[in-house]
Parts: sequence; C-alpha cells; structure tokens
Amino acid sequence: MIVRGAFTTLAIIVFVPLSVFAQVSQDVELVVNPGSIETTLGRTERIEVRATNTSSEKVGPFAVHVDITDPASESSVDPEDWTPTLTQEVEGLEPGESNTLIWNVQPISNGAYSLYAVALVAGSVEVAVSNAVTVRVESARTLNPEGILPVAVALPLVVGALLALNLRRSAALRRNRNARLTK
Amino acid sequence: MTARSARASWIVIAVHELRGLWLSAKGLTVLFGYTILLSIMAFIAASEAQLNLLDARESVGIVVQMAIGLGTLAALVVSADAISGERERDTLEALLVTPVSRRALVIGKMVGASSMWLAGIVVAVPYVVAMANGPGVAADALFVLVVAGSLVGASLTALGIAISAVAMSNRVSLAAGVGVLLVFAAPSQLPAVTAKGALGAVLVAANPVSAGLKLAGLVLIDQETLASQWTLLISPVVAAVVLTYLAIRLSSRVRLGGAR
Repeated sequence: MIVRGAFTTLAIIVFVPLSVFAQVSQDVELVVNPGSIETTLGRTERIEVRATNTSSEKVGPFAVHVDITDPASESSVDPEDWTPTLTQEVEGLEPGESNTLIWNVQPISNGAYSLYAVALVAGSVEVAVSNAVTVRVESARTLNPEGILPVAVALPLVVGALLALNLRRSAALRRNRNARLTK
Repeated sequence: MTARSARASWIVIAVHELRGLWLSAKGLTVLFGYTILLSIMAFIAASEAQLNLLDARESVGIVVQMAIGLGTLAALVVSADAISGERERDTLEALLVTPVSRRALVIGKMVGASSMWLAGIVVAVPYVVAMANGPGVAADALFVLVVAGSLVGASLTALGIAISAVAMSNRVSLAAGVGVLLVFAAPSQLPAVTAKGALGAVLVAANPVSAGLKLAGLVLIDQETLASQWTLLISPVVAAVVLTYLAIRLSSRVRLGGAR
C-alpha cells in the first residue's frame, strides 16, 4: 500500500511538470513587436511581447524572459543595462487567449543587436522562443551636452591664461634681476 | 610677544604664503590641472545625462564629488609642502630666525594653504551651476560643495600641515598625506551591500572624507533631504577642529633638523 502510494506520488512529481513543460514549449506562441527597430542612443523603445495559447488546454503559469545579444559578437551586451526587469510572469492562458507584455528598453551603446523572448516554466528544460527583432542603434553624441561645453572650455582657458601671464611675469622679473646683478 | 603682535605675525605669514602660492606658478599650475580634470569629468557626465544613460541628478552628484575629491587633494598637496618644503629648500632657517612664533608660522601657512581649496570652490561653482540647472538641484549642490567640501578641505589642509611639520622631507610628507587621503577615501568605495550594513555605515560616517562624499551622493543622487542627513557632517566638523588643533600643537615640533 505504501509502495503504491509512493509510486503515485513519484508519478505526480515527474509527469505533471513534464506535461506543463511540453505545453509551454509547444503550445505557446510568442511574437515580439515591432519586427525591427531603428533608434538612437539614449532613446527608450517600447517592446511588446504577445504570448498566445495555441493549444486546446489551459497553459501556465509561466515566465516570459527577454534577452538581447549581439549576433556579430562585436560587443558584449548586458541586457540588465537596457531594462531593469528582464522577466515577467504570466498567470495562465486559456485556449486561444493572448496576453501582451510590455518592456521599455534603452540601448546603452550603438550597434546592431538582436532581441528575442522566451517562455519557460521554472525548472523546465524546454522553452518557447519568439521571433528575433533586429535593433539598430545609432550614436547620438552632441558637442555641447547640457550646455556644459562653454564652462568646460572657458575655465581651463582662463586659468591657463592666468598661469601663462604669471610665468611671463616671473620670467621678466628674473631677467631684470639678472640684468641688475650683471651691472 | 604680545597677543596683538602674535596676531599680526600670522597675518604676515599668511600674506607671504598667499603671494608665494598665487604669484608664483605653483597654485595656478595645480588649479589648471584641477580645471582640466573637472572639465573632462563634467563633459563626460553631461554627455551621459543627455543620452539618458545617467540620471541628471547623478551627473551633478558625480561632478560635486569629483570637485570635493580633487579640491581636497590639491589642498593636501599644497599644505604637505608648506613646512617640509621650506626645510628641504633650506628656507626654513630664515623663517625661524624671524620674530614670528612657530604657532603663528603654522597658522599663517594653514591659512595660505586653505586658499587652494577656496580657489577650488570658486572654480567648481560654474560647473556645478551649469550641471545642476537642468534637474533643479543647484542650491543643494552648492550647499554640499561649499559646506561639506570646505569642512573636508579644512581637515585635510590641517592634516597636511601637521604631517609637514614633523616630516623629514617633502617626499615623505607628500607620500604620507596622499596615503592618509587614500585610507580616508577607501570606505566610499565599499560595495553597496557592505556600505549599507551597520559596520559599513559607521565606517563611512566616522570618516570625514567618505562622510562628505556620501552626503553628496545621498542628497544629490538619492534625493534625500539635507535635514535628514545632517549627521554626516559631524565627522567632517570634528576632524576639522581636531586636526587644526593637532597642527597648531605640533607647531612646537617645527625644527630645522631632527624631524621625523
């Protein structure tokens, strides 16, 4: 009796989560919008991830995680620098139901990146994967950020000019003193 | 020597020091380097703020912290040279034979060296005002720069003079001064988790340099009110008073030779 009960418990532990994993990986469709993004450094872009249950049974709860990478491997990307919240929870989806999740991402370096989302259950070995969105980020450096340029240039110039005058005056005094000593 | 003549003699020394610092290339060279570094830091911080990569308040906090850090370093370098430099250049003897007490000599030199930090404040104000204009924290930023910065600057100037009074050579005096400054500044570099712990918080608050820098960070970046963080001014006030007293006490140790 005890052995039978143990087998039942084991079956629940093993098979129930496996069935959930299969539902998430096979029955959830993830679509990231917009399909491609052209932006400039410092701007914030709104990303929508729509999760749809394409099966005939309820799916979830599950997590949707956004990742950003540089496919050309020209730079390392830490997605947490782009958005503080990488993972959001979906309580569950009824058959045919959709849930749209929003991320506001702010690129921190220029280049071409790929952004995609995955859906997974904790401890799962399978994931549902979205389309990959290309994010092209242009540099947007300006010559006078926050109006600091006049101050940043003028102050060293003023102090440098005072220093030059001082050095010139000291040299003139030295020359006069030497001239007096020579006489 | 009467009290009046003693008072007059430190003024004479102070005026002599101010002339020596600002009519020679010494003070302006240090100030020139200070403005170059401040310009670079302010430009980088403003660029990051404009691109929204850095909060505008944070960029102001960085510039104020940099101004305090570099300004106090400049004041320490100048004060560390004050007496040991005279000793090394063989000009201390001429000063010691004048009818000026050693105490008046030290006080006058301390006043002269303090002008380095005052010049640092004057030069830093336009940067801080330009940066703080956007986020509207100019008043807080100027208060932190002037009050916290001046207390830290006064502490380190007095420390530099105290070390200079007993140091054998200028090199020893400068190395010891900068070493102590690094030790003082170290708690401000503690990881955030450690700094928030009870011991870390005490360590930061008890140290005048890290307390001043922490106050700048809390008020300008974390939007804490000055009234709620005034306790961070305790250690800079205590340090300024104690180190000034120590420097004056050590004036009796100012000798031509035999210093350590």
